[in-house]
Amino acid sequence: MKLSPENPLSAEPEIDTSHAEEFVEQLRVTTDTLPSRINIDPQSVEQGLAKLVLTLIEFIRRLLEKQAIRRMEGGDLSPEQLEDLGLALMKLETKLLELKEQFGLEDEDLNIDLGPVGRLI
Amino acid sequence: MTSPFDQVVIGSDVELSDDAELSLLETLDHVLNRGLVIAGEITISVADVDLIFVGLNVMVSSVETAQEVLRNREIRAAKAIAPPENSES
Amino acid sequence: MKYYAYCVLKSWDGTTPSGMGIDGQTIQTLVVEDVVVIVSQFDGDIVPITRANVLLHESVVRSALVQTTPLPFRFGTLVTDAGLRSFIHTRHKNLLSRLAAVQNCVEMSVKIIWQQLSEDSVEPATSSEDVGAGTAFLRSKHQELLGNSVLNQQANEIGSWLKSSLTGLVRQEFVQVEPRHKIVVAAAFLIEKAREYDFKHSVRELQKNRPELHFLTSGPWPPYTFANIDLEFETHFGVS
Repeated sequence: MKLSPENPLSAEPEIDTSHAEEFVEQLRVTTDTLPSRINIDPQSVEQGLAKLVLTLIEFIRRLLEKQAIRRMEGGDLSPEQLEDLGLALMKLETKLLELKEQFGLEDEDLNIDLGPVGRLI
Repeated sequence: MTSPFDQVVIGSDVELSDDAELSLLETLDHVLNRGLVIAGEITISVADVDLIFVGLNVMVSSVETAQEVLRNREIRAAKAIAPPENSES
Repeated sequence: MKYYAYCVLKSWDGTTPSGMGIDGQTIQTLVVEDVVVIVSQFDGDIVPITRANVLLHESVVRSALVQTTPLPFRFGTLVTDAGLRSFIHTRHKNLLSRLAAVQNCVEMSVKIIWQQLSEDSVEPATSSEDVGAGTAFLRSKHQELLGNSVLNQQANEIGSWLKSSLTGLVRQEFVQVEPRHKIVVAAAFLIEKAREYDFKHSVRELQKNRPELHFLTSGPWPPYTFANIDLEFETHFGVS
């Protein structure tokens, strides 16, 4: 059961790269976004709810933005409509940034990276 | 709140070389559930209302809620793919 | 009483893995129906993610890899005795077929960093028009989107290239593409143990063909990505 010299499997998985430092940096980024448990402590619970709510809002905001751009590409909006739409979305983005700051949350906290779905929207 | 990685590294009393750190990170990447480490897990559920519940699982760890949601999601996925050989899950 | 579960195996020669598991508990092999589960007792609700625990988990699973290919549980899988038996009972067929699928195989991991050059993306539209702030906002978002879709295309191309280049060597693959990360491709491959050298050699050749891509290859690993056995469990790890 113990590994023996005859056994070809290495005792530790081998890592082969010419860019160790680079990968360390990037893998740390991924690791740092590990979810954590929210302790039963009023402040953390609030943060948890804030995260949830802001994630949803951010998702919707991005949907809205993408949809607006589609309409813009489609050419069926008047210059005034376009301008109003743009201003509203701009304010929404700013507001969300403010809220994030207020709760001390980063993009990673909101799991903003939508990955494959982000590309589909 | 220290970052999870710091917690893992702090456990060791030696400075990790790049290679050792890389080995640890790669190990972490494998032993931890990919679905939680990367955005993928959340992403999939964003497409439908499940977002909220899965989000809870990751962020607030409501055990019963998460279990229920995951179970339902699995049942739906199994139905969608093919007639399951198991009589039930 | 709870168990910390490490992995599921088809058979075992009966030698209990030596050494201590998580929390200094003895490692046990449980026979449940016709599969074997490697566990150790665990008191508590959360398994702290420490270097020691992570390495311990991996080394226990790894020790099984010597004899047979296990289906690894992810770190922090806690389960009651009843829960474990019920799990194995209901997913029995599934488990056997997964075990058969990974027999004599190991997992190899390939990650690719690609330094996306912003000059490669769409040139920003220069407009001499005077536009309002709202319109300018939408236009710049539009540009960003176009840039992103070029990025997406390129990243996906790298993923497909990797996948198709290695397809003859592997049993299964799982290729993830993340265009907005530096690690654009993170892939796991299930290969036969005997093909480890061929695989590593092929990846090195691929690297030479595309020097602009930075590779990291690691392995062999137990098949964490291809086990698909922990859907019903929550993993109970945490940091406080």
